[in-house]
Amino acid sequence: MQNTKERGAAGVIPSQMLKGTLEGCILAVLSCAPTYGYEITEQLAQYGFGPIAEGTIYPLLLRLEKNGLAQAEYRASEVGPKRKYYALTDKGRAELQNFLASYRELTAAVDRLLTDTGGIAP
Amino acid sequence: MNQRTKALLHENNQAETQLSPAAQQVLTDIVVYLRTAPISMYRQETVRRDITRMLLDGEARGDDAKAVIGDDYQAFCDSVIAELPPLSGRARVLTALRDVLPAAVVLLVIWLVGRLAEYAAGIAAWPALTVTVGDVIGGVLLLAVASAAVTMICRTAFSTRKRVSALLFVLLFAGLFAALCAGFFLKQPLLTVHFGTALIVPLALFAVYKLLDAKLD
Repeated sequence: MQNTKERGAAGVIPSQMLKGTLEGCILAVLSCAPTYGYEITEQLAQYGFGPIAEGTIYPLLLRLEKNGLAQAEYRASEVGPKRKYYALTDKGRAELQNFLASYRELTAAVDRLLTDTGGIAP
Repeated sequence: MNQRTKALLHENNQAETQLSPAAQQVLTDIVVYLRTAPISMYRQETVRRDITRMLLDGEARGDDAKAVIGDDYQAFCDSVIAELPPLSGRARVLTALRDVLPAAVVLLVIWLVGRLAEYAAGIAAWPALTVTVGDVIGGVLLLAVASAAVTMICRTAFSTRKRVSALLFVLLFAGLFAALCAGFFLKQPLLTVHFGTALIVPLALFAVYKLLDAKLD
């Protein structure tokens, strides 16, 4: 994750931590409506992911496209050139469900661990 | 390259002119870096189209290339390359052959002109042309150095230019010197060919190049 700024401990998601989840988060964004790279970074920023350059998610979008999880098409834009819109495929929706299940399992496990070890007040 | 790639290349060249000079420079470095990646020319141009539009869109909202792509262009390119289907071994060999053939044709034509000059000066006999060990070794050396120079330029697209230029100069000078030495000292005849036959070789190689160029990508 090259372009996500490391913002320290105060409400910041370190790049390495984000790395494993960003693809699933993009799937979640795409599940709402087809959209383009910059709009995805904007939505992620609104959810508190911090500033993410479009160049960070472009390779992930290529991967989603390559794996048949998303399909892309160019659409006219009101300003500037045509934009590449990505839409979730059925395979992508199934993958999003897998991600959700894995993510919930992971967060529950981390929560349990941190609670037991005193990291989180019960 | 095939028609599909040619059309996309043309479209990208047109779109690139709409970028600011600074963004064009970034895009050029990215494209140069991608040129030696083991991906097809069509894929390279597809990525170039995407990046050009990302940059154009960014400039329309006031963002420069760093804001759009990030601070590390090379890491971005490596991430992109990692997500694209690599060329098969066969395609890589044919692409390398396609890329080296034009230089080989030019070298052969220069060699033929040189032999004609020798004949005109009364040094060589007509119409038999003698190919020496030095001719072959020198030619192969020049092609290898040219390929290495292109690869070096592409792989160091994001490096400090002065350092790369110095290394490139040394590589080209050493290669040229070695090729000239081979031609000068290794005069042992390897084979003798008729001028007509020798003329067919570059033509045939050019035909193979055109054929591969139309098929590949």
